[in-house]
Amino acid sequence: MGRLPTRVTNRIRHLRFEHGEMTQQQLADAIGLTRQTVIAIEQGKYSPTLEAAFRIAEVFEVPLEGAFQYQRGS
Amino acid sequence: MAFREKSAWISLVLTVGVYGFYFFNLSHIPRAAWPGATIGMTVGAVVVLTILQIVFQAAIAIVSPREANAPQDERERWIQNRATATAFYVLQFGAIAGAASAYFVDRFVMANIIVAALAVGQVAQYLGVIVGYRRWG
Repeated sequence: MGRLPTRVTNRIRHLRFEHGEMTQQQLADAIGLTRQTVIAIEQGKYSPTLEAAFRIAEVFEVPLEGAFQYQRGS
Repeated sequence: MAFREKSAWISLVLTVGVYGFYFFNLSHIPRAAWPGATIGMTVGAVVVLTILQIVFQAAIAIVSPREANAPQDERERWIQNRATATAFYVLQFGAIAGAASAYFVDRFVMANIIVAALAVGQVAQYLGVIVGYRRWG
């Protein structure tokens, strides 16, 4: 369970902006997480489970790679 | 501050306070009086801690009913599980110390080593939760 700050980045802030300035609370309610967890994901402090990542992508109607990116490196 | 972090802070302060008071008093009781005092003091500490926990946890739940009633999400469960795993190691160490003490001290000292292990284990769990929310929150 890789939950430490990782090389997984995300575009959630950007996607929320594109979806009518969706609030963190609205996103949290849509995917069944708390607002604090959405904040932690957005800031890259916490990597969500695969299921939560898919739910986030589904809310924004983008493929998983459209919401999350894995940065290859050392 | 997240509701569950607040809750952990309250539990931490109450646990340290109640068991700190318990062991402070115990240290001022002559060893000869321990057999009579230990059971009453232990039960008293547990009862007082339970009552204080109910009162304070209910108070913060009244202030934040939405967060209090919401089920834990995956990050919160993960933080909780991580803290519990850490506390388990602390408790294991205390249990071994308690078992080993049977060869060196009387059963009342042994009982108090076990009480201390439980208290320190709880403190480790609350600290683990707080650190988790600070670090991954």
